[in-house]
Amino acid sequence: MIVEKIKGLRPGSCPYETVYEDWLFKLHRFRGEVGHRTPVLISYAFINRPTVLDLHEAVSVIRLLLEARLDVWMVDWGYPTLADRHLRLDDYVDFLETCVETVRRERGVESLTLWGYCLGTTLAVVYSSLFPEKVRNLVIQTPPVNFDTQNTLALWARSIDPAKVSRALFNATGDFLNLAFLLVDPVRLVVGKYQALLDSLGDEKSVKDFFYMDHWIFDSPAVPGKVFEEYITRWYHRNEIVRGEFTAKGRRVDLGNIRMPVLVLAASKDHITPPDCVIPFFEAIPSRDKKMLLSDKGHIGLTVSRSSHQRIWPEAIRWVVERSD
Amino acid sequence: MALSRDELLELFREAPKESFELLLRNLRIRECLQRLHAKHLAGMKLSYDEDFEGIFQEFFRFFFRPLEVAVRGVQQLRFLFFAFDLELAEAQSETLRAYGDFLRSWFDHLRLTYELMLGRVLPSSGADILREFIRSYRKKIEGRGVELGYPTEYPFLLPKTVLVNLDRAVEHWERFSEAFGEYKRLIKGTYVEAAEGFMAEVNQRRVESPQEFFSSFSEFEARAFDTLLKSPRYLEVQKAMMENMMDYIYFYRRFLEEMLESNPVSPFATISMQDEAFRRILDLKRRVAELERRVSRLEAESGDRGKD
Repeated sequence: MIVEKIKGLRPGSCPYETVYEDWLFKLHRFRGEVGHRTPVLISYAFINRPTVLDLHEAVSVIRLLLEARLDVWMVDWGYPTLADRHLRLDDYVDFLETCVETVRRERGVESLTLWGYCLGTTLAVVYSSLFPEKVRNLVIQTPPVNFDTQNTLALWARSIDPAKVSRALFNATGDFLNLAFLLVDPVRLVVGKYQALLDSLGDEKSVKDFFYMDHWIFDSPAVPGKVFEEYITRWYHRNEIVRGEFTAKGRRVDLGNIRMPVLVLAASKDHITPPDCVIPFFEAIPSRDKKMLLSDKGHIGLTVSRSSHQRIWPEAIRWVVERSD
Repeated sequence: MALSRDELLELFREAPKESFELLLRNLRIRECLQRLHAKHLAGMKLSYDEDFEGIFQEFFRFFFRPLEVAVRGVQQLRFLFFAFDLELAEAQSETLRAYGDFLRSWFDHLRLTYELMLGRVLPSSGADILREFIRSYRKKIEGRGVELGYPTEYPFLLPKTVLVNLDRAVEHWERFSEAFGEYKRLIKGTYVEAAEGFMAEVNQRRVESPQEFFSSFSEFEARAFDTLLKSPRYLEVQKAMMENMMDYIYFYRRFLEEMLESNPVSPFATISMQDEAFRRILDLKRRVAELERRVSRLEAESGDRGKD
């Protein structure tokens, strides 16, 4: 029975403690033996849940980091409700600052490795530009920094008025966003994927992998209405970061400040944040120690495919470890 | 593959609701594909028939449903204003009848229980208790029409914005419905065109493997939609549809809210009032955080001066 294979199955395998909490936002610290001086702080995308980095034991990026004896912390942007509708991107950068300060204080270090994932990358880049002295290494995974791309999602984002969504729904709800993400590639995501599942119902591993992923995909937090307005308008419509026009905490974000070591993890078949989302950034930053690892997978496959865990991740973890003492 | 009834119920508990729905829809899509493949293997030339249509209906129901719910939303407007009394009475008659039956049963139950326990016979007046209440109530309100005024007075009773919002809600709903119709036509047209491309190919060569047959169909459709979803016409229609839907939701909500907000006996805070309260609280929170930062800086500076 298919149900027997998936009973109780949920993403997330590594234990953690919540170190700090501020209404909606939380800071977690994963349990593990620490063998390197520089801690890693992960700024996950506020549009999904971070469990994709720890989907299950066989494909857990968090586990790889812990096995490399890195001290791993994670920002949790929570599940926004009506009460959070008026949050702004500045509030997110503020909380990132609180997390960085907490980690620095707890570990007695001057700087840390800031690891951004998808839209968490955009926040990480903004933060690193404003406080470069606190970021020893910057790792950015499937990073949207340049929003002037031709993928379907970017075309759609540029053609909508997000203020109307925010005004009507208050927040961009998880259901609303899910529908958009599925509609970007409807045949493959709504028919192809499920027909493939029907073909492999006898294979326990495939069935489990499928439902780990679907549990993650459909566990969708809302995006606070005002944040939705800002990120669609300022990032997608105006591409403010790459143009040097984005301000946060009253200061202009200058990519010229990104001089720390930078590792970019991108995926060539990514239909959400294609490599074009990062190449102009990668070329523009003055960092002398910068590297890009390009997977032949898609946006999610980069993180969870077994082939990425054989090819990309050992090299990525090595890069971080070599810069963590 | 067929899932037993028990398995389906268990699956509904365990899987995300979207996965569950899509799995069911894909089971039906597979049945259509299997029938098409069987026809193909039997040497029949495929044409756009009920199985292709079945696939389309399953495939796009998932996306169309929320939009159709929005289209139906306007029924509430009609219900409120255009045939209020008749439709309200019709819609509620079943419920009222059910409550009446319930009350009568409940009364009989209590009466019989007391009779059993106390050994006394109580009057069995339950059959008419509801009718009696309705008769009394109707008598009480009879003749109050003049005092209460008539619905035609409403435009002068309510703030002007109430009716302006209603007017704009209807206007955006009409535009949304029009865009939604065009959206469906675009999607359906693309689907049918891709299906015809697929048919033209498989009608010329025999495809033995069901997997190859299915994936060939999927690829034809996926390529067609890749092109459609980026086309200027699609972007234009999607924009009109979404923005008018959002405006319809907003103005219709504001219409209802302002009726409540302008009513002095309404005990409800509207969602917009709550939203404004949350905005002010968050603003205060930011100011407190900024003050805390300044205090910390001042404390650090005075500490440094103390060391000097």
